[in-house]
Amino acid sequence: MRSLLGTLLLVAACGGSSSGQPGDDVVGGDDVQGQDAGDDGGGPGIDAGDGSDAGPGSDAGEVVISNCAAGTWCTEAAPAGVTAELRGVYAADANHVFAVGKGGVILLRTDAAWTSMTSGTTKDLNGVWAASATDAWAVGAGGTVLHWNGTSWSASAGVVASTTNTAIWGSSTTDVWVSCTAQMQHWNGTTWSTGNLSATPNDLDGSSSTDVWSGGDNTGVLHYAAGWTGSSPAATAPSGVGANVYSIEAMAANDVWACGAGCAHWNGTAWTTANTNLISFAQMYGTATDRVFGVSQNDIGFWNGTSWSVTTPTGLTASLRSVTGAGPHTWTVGTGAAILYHHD
Amino acid sequence: MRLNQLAAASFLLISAAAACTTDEENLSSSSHSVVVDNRISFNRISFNRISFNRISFNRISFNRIINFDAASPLLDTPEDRELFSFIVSCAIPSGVTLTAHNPNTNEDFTFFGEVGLAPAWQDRGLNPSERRWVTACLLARVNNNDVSVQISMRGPHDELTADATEKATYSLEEGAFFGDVFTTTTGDIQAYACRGRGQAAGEPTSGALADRDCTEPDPANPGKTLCGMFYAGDCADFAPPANKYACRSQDADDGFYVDCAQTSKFGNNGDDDEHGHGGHGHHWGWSHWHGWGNGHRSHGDDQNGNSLKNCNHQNGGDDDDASTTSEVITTFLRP
Repeated sequence: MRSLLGTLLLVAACGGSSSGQPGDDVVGGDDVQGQDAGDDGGGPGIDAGDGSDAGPGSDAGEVVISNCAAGTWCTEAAPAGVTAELRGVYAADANHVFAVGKGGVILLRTDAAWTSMTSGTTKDLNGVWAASATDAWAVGAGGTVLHWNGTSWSASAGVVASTTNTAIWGSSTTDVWVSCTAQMQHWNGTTWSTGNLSATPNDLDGSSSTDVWSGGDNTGVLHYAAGWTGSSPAATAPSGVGANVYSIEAMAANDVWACGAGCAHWNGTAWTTANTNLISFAQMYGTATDRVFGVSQNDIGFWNGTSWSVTTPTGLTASLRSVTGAGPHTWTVGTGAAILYHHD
Repeated sequence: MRLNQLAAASFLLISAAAACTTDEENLSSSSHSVVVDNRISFNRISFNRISFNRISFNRISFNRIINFDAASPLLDTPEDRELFSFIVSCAIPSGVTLTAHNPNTNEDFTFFGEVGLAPAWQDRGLNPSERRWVTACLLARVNNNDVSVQISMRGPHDELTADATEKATYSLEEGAFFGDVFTTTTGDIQAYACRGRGQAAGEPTSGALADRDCTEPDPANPGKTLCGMFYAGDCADFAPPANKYACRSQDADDGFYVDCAQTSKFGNNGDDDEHGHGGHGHHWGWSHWHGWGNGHRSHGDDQNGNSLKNCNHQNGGDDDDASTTSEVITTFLRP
């Protein structure tokens, strides 16, 4: 097996569009677990397209892809025996993708395979974020905050809130935000501190330490433009979104999406409503002004810079909870340990 | 909801000496999307009944600054604030924000109005009808799975209308919610749910209905739903053989239920059988009911919001209207 540093390995047999738009079919991709990357028998799934095998490796930026045509969504297998609802997914890089879920489930995708990690808890985990492959955080019910140091997961000491943690995001290893029941928590690299909110955020995202956004049931949109101060910023209820915010995605200070009753975009000056036909996304993930994914129930939305298209992949029965990506790769997870993969 | 299609109204007999009314009034309605999120747990409602009881009798001052006394627990803890945020969201209209000051911590909190089922709460205490509307909204937004699911709330209230897009998108009928969580400080909390057509068809493995449990009967706790509310049975008679059901009527256009009882009292066995015979199917008419009022209380209510018995009500059997309510919210999900 070879480790191809910094190489994104795409399937030679990939066909279809490379536009990045999600397809409307879920393809049962090869079982990526335990596949022999050294077998370059011409079969689909692991050929890099340059004649080389896509062997498993551990380098950041490397990803091994199963038989999944560009532009389509393909299923990936959760580890054997894992059936729990997955509620959060985050790619530290293309070869280190963390997923968390009910019952304390934590999965890691490396070398094209998802494996179970020992979380040390049975509490439901709702969100995950990683500064790197060796510095990841998972949060969930009962005030659970777990930290991955590259070797093991352990409970973070000094966590103040004991309520349900709903989401997590950070700009660095010393600037980590956790939303919970009517509160926001912050990790500065040494200690946790807490600020009160009037209601509970559902989602949390940012583009820098001084551009952090959150929103939830009855919270409106919260913008921490001054970074962490411990105080709640003034909340707004953008037209088209309302005070019930389902998800938020901040790619830049002037490129933010919020979804509630509908979805709206912040361009740094004003919110503009976008039509999604009343489908609001449970979570979004974007990399550019014309490349934003959203998931909700069994729908996958895509913003191409002009409009949202929403498709229901054929055969998808899971409710999708979370979406993430790295480079051209995108993953979404949901109920029944569902994992879907897409690449441009 | 097509208010001008509602021919008659009135339902809940709170006062035994209620006067009869024959009022009819066709009122315009506006389309108002009521797709909202829900995450609140039922425990937070049942554990806060004393607080509910207190706030129901207090008005929110006109300047929209809520001053809680030091004993008020509704702002002190995160759970209480979350609950209060749902109360305000249900009661106060969209576009109105309330600032609440907690003297214990000298903090101000901003709460958003959203649904607007009791806007007069800004100026006076909640009347009984408003209490029941806010209750129905709170119960509809309980989620047992600690995930936020979007629901479409519909009912015979101006603020619970749905346009064609909303009805088409949120077409799966979950069930209906009603009660009054503001009334008692002891005993069982008055929280009821009946099972709607979609939920009665079975529990799916995915989709929004899989994330919603509050109209499902709890096999381990007969008489209760999986969320701990009282289970009123099926909202209507969904499948043969004919069963008793909890709600007298269902709007043919918008699909919401009205006049629901705490137990399944309607049906084909001679009890309160208004719709169980005669081939009405699942979509019942409104011929015996008056139209609704201005959305803030049912037309035919007295000035305190107590509903008045309708003289036109042609009903035989043991029509115990004292145990039915018209302030019912039916929830619809995306399939």
